[in-house]
Amino acid sequence: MIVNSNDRLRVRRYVLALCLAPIFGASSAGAQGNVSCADAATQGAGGPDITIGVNGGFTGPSASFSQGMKRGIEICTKEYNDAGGYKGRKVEMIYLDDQAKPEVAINNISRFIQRDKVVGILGPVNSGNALAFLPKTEEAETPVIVPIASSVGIVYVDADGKPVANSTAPGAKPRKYTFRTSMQDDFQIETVLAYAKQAGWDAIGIMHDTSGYGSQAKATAQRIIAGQGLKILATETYNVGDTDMTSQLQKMKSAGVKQIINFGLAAELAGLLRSAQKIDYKVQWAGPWGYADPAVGRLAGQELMEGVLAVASFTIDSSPAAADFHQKMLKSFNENPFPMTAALGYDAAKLMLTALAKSGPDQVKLRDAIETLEGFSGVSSIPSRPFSPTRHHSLDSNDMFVATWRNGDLVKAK
Amino acid sequence: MVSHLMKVEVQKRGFEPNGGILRKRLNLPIFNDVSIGQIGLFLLAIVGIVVAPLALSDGYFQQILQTIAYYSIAAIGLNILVGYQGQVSLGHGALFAIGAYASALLTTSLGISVWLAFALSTAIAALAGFLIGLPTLRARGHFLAMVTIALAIVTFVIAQTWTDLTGGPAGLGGIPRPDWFGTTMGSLRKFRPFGADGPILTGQVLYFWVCAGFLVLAQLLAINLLTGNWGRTVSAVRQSEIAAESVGVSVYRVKLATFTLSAAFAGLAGSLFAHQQEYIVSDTFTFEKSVEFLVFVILGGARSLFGPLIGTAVLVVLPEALKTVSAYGILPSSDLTIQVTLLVLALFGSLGLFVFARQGGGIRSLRFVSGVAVVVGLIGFMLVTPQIVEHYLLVYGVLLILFLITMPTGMAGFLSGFFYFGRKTLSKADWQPRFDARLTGEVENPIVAAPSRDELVINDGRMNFGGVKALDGITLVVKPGTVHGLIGPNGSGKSTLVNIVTGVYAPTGGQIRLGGRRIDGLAPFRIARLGIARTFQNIQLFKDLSVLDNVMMGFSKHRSATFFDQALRTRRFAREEHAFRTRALELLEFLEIRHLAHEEAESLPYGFQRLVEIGRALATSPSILLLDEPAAGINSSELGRLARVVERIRDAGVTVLIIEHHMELVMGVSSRITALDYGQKIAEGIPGDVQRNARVIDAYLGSAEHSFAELRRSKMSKTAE
Repeated sequence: MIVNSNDRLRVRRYVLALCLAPIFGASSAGAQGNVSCADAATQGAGGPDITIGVNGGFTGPSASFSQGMKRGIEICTKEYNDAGGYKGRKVEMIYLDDQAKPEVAINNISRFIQRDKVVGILGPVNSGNALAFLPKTEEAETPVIVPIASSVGIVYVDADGKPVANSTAPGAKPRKYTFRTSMQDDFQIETVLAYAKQAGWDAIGIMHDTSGYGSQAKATAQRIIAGQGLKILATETYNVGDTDMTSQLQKMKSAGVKQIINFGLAAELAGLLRSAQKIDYKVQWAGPWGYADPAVGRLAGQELMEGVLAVASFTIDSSPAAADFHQKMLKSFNENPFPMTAALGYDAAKLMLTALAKSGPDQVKLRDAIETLEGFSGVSSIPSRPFSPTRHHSLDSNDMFVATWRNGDLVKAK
Repeated sequence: MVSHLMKVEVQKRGFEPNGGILRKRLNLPIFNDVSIGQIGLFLLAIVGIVVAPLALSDGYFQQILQTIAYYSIAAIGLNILVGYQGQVSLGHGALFAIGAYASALLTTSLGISVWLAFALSTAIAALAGFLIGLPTLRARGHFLAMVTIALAIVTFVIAQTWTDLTGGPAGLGGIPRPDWFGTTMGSLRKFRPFGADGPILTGQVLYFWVCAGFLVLAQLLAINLLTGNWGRTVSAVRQSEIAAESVGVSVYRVKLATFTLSAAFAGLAGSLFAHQQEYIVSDTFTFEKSVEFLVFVILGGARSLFGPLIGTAVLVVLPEALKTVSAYGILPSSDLTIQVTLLVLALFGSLGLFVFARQGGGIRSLRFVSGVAVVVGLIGFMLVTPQIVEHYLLVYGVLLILFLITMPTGMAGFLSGFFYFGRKTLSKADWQPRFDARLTGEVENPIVAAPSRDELVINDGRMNFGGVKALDGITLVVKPGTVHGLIGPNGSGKSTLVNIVTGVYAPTGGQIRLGGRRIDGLAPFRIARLGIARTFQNIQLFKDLSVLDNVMMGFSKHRSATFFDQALRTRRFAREEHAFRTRALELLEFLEIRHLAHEEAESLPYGFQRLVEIGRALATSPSILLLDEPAAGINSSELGRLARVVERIRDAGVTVLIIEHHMELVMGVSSRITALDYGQKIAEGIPGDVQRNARVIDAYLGSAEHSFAELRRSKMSKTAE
């Protein structure tokens, strides 16, 4: 039964991709079909391998994000090495698991820097881990591209080097050696609120968990809302670990809320969907990319996911290149459960390898090459000039869009 | 019969004073009484610590070594609590977090020097432990485990949500490394700390020396405390709280001190952690951390001096090594022959474990081989199978389970079992029999009685358990310098009387005075310190301790050496230990069990155990000794000796209150006897009178006679019909 439906899904995805290919062919920036890391390869006499460290939470709570990222990086590395690598030298990716624990991530990073002498680092997945190890990579002058972790302070710090919560804050500047292909939290919030305004939402409620992430997101949302003239009817909170949120939703319902923008993680998102169903509350759900996590659908039941909105920079139909990449993933791994993480990992790897072709295996030159890279094409909606000296995030709110769950896939919303 | 009791084998041990140059003991101003061998080992460890990071120039290795050092400190502290004192803490991760955050905040917000922050954060964690222990440790049982679980969870939530203070999940950054002669030991910075011609070192090496230095101090402190009277006391409390109180030890204070000390260790570890990481994030301090520390201790070997260090080293290195194998692909191959061979090895190993599991003695080596076969076979199989090694945490988990199965006493216990095959386990605290001065000549009477000649007066003593009146208004006067007998059938309230006198129960009514001073309602250890000693009807020895150590526990209330004397092994501590050891041996000589001094108390026959209890009670130099059925379970030929012992105790000036069923004994030694029945005094007087007292005879024999008489009557009436 499960096998059958999977097969059907796969066929449908393929047909969908074929149909959509001509429509998006010219519309998306830098997203012509057939993006390949082979493009970054250069020919030459060969030599010893070049190592790049990949740190992710391959086991533990962020495994689904990390495995997606890892597969994207694996595909890219294979394409690159098969096409000649760096002047005939192969690039070896060393994957170390941090179990989503900051102190393990720090160990891994010391290993990359002091033992493996990597030229650059990809990762991590957890924001806390990134915040913990980045001072060390900055000290060691090792370039890092962060594919998944989305907290603002990973890339932007204030004059004292402290992480900031808002990249537009006065005095915020990027860490010198740190870049990201991930979707930064504040821009995700901007994107979803812009969508709300454009769609003419008039009965919005905000929910968030009480973790650092949830409270910070709500504060950012309030700041943006104030400038946009959106009206919020109600705000409710819940704790990480809660499973029944019917009382909060009851209040939302009686306040007349028709659209809920929510900041939280997979398990609680699923709990919210189930709680809403229990009290027969039909409401439009939207939020940052937490809702793109396929775990929500697995926990809540796929039918409850129908129509839920999430911020994305990649969907399997977002461009011909995206559709093509999705097929590549299916071909290599027979599945692609979390396509966006794979795409972000792929783009991070491609960025680093493309820059490597220009700089050669030297950490400081590599950093400069990443910062000044032009004419780049990735599978997500990454622009062709991703970075500048003052901008170390590749995806602005303009590059993100709102996607919706339809028949078990996250696709571009109208 | 006597000969069979005497047949307890006295083991020849290798630590007699003349055991060679390595065992020669030195007396230094501090660290008294250490052997040349121990000093050698210590110097070897120092050389190892200095050289190891230089030999491994790799900064990553140095970081792993740092990690082992500070986690070991936490594990050593936890072992004092869990292993020796027997209280489980599931919240040491929280104390570790308190140390880490305290250190981070002190250095970043207040700009305090890192060196000072090490000390202050240790003190703050100790204070936190003290405050948590203050209300918690009054309760018995596993209450501490429950409270510390709550502590772990609450600390995590605070770290996560009080973002103004802790930074929450976004973390707290800019935590400095300590200074080394004016230069900060940054993790990657390289410099020459020993002048322009010295070697180039990285901050990692220097910081390892800092961590290792603290580890050496922590380990030395643990050794000094645990192998001296402090460790003996802590172990005694684990084994019998009531007996520890009976020799004047405040169980509550011991528990509180132990928990506070182990909190301090955790705090220091947390502080070292914070300055290694330079950035701490709340996600680190989950409940898992507390469990991790407990696993370090249990797998390393609880109640073993070096177990925590071994366990931590293995468990820090192991996942890193397995991760290396999975990430760098050093071993995996899919060679079927190798895989099958390793699986077969594991299979035979587990068969061996199953077969030899219950065998002792010589078969132990086979069990060891089987255990090794299982570990090697299974781990080898997993390592050469790429599909499994990718999930290196699975391999790690299987390893932990195997360790637990094959090494129930932890790695330290397992290793010592391997290196000392055939040798019987030494009792843990009896480390220093070197003071074992050969006693010359017959010991006259080593008993020192308390100088006071106090009268014990129980006035209208009452004790109710719910509706049951165990003691119903007893009035009793025990004259100083006499042997007073207390008799009565089972359930007549004799033991309850002993328990209200010694403070085990607070009487529900009446007054108890010792030399005019009210003692009813006082804690048992206070009453013991006032001069009332006791033995127990159900023997309450400190089972794992040696006979000698049991008796030495009796001197607890006379100790004047402080915690610091002990920690530094000052002259005062060494002299005191020596003096009490000699006196304990004299007491054992007096009790005619001198030859059993180094036996584990639990291994002795019943009668000897009773004598050890008496010895322990006498060591407190009591003014009154309460003997609760000393003859129970000892054979008739031993009675003569017991009677002799009681008389000599009295001759030394100690008042004796003896509770006994054995009439011959109690009538023989007592100058006055009180008889109880149903919680009331039914007779009192000189032995002869009490023996002839009708109510006493009735109480002892009456019920049987009555039933006989009734039976006969009913039979007669039946025949009459």
